[in-house]
Amino acid sequence: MKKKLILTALIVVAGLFSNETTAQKFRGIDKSPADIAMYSTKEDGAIAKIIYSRPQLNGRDMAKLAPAGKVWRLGANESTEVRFYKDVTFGGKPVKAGTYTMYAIPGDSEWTIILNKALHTWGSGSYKEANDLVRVTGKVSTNKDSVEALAIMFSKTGDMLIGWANTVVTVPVK
Amino acid sequence: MKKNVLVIALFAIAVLFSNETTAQKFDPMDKSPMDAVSFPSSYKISDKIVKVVYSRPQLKGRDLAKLAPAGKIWRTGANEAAEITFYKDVTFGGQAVNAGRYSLFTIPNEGEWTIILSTAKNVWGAYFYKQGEDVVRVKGKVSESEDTIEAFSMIFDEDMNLHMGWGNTIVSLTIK
Repeated sequence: MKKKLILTALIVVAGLFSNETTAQKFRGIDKSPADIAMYSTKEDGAIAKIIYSRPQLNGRDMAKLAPAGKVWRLGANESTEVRFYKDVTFGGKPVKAGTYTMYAIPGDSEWTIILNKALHTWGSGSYKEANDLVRVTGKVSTNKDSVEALAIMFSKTGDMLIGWANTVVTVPVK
Repeated sequence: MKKNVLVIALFAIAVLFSNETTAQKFDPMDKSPMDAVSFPSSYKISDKIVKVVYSRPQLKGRDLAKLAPAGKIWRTGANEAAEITFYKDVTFGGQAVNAGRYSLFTIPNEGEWTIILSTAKNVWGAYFYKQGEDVVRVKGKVSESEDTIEAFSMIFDEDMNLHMGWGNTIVSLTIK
């Protein structure tokens, strides 16, 4: 009896000190991984930061993935998010420092770029025009090289550049 | 002459309306892609309490103990330091933390990891880590994963506990 008690006690103690083994479900790398576009200068520090997901063409036609004339999530998964650390002029329109979601309406020679106030939304299904902050236009140019994974970046002069397939869309940020 | 002018005019109009062709370089996909997790985890719920944005290095046959050595500040991901945003005041690993945005660092160790919230913003890695910018240091409990986790991973469970997993190590922390 005593032996049994000691044994039980030992097992309990061992249980307490051994690392618990769990089968927590962690996810693999997303098919459209997220990435970051940062715009900062030495003088002003951080000005803008964009967090977006990067879908890839995988042999598909961009015009089908991001059809002209329709609101597009400008990425994948969670809505693309842009944070301005300072008041800026975005595509010619004043925008206060803050965090916004960003959408696009693709077009042939220019795209409409939308900043929207609803945060933490998913895709373009939950997009509501009533929450728009501004709509600006971005000029379309053609890239010689095809870009496989949707990319957003800032040029040294602060232009926001969106690149996918052979399309480049430019929106000046000041 | 008239014809010439017309040709030039047409050409000018064509140039105006055609898209400019450039050779713009965009970055390819990052080797340690970024990811985001939030709580509530459902994408249908926009009213979030907490969100983490971090980069996901992969083991690629390497040893976790070398990638995230014990006793040293680790950037807790790759590239930019991991960033955690609380949209409400919370209790993070037992300590009160105000709503706001923080950088998240860790110090790996055997039975528990130290998890640090810092006011440092937009920093790259842990190279610029300054203890003076600490908001809190709390402990995360280490457990063992049956399956090896190839890509560093963070998730929230249904009780808003934060779990970080890499290799066979899981570090868990309560958030309330």
